[in-house]
Amino acid sequence: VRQHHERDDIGGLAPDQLVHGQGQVIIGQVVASSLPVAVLTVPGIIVVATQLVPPANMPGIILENVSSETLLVNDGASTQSVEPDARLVLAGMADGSARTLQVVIQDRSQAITLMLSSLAAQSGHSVLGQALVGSP
Amino acid sequence: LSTLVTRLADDGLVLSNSVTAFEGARAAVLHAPGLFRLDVAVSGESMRLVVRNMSPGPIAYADRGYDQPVVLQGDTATLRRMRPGHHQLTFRLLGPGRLVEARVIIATLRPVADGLVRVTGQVMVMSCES
Repeated sequence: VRQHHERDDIGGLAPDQLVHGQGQVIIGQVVASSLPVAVLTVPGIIVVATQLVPPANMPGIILENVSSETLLVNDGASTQSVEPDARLVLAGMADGSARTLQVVIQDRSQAITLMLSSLAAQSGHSVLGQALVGSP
Repeated sequence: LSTLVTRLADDGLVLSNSVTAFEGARAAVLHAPGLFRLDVAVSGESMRLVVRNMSPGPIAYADRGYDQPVVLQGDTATLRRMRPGHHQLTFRLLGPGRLVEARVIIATLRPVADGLVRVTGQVMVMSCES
């Protein structure tokens, strides 16, 4: 999954060095393929990746918990727990669709809002991700 | 508004929502019933925020007035063309029997150059002592 963002830092900066005021905003975009590829990484907490899901080959979303704590993922219909080092796989997204998710670190007062969009691209389907990361 | 809500470990709440709005149009992004509603209008490089106080008391509002940085991951040239924005504000108001603080993050993005802006908001609402 961590093809683009293997480290737990960005540009040599630790996660807390990226925070300005009460949070940070991260965006990323990739073209989905048959193998998982990272859309964006919230350092030390979560990797958001995408992978084409057969048979329709629409981009699915993979949330990987890279923290040492349980994450709660709220998609508006239900809330699911994701244990450390575990993944949550969400259904494929049609081109032009968008999805908003809430990720909360269970034992901390820290929350992340993820906005994910699937866009038609010349080379296939791209996934655009935006993370609003609140400070604890 | 189809706002997502999750309770935090310290009894606070986090609310999230994302809307698509026309450039210049005012759109409701976050609504905490009995506390506030936050509307956003994006026009060019400017963002207008309107907080409607629905609490029984006054509101104390703090806003730096300037954009915050956005971290780009991936093809930065493509992402810059989407003109990502990031704004923060904080306000305090009277919740049910106690003073609460709302910490808001607003992010904007124009994925396609069609006059539409994607506005995503998150607010953490927590009790505060004073």
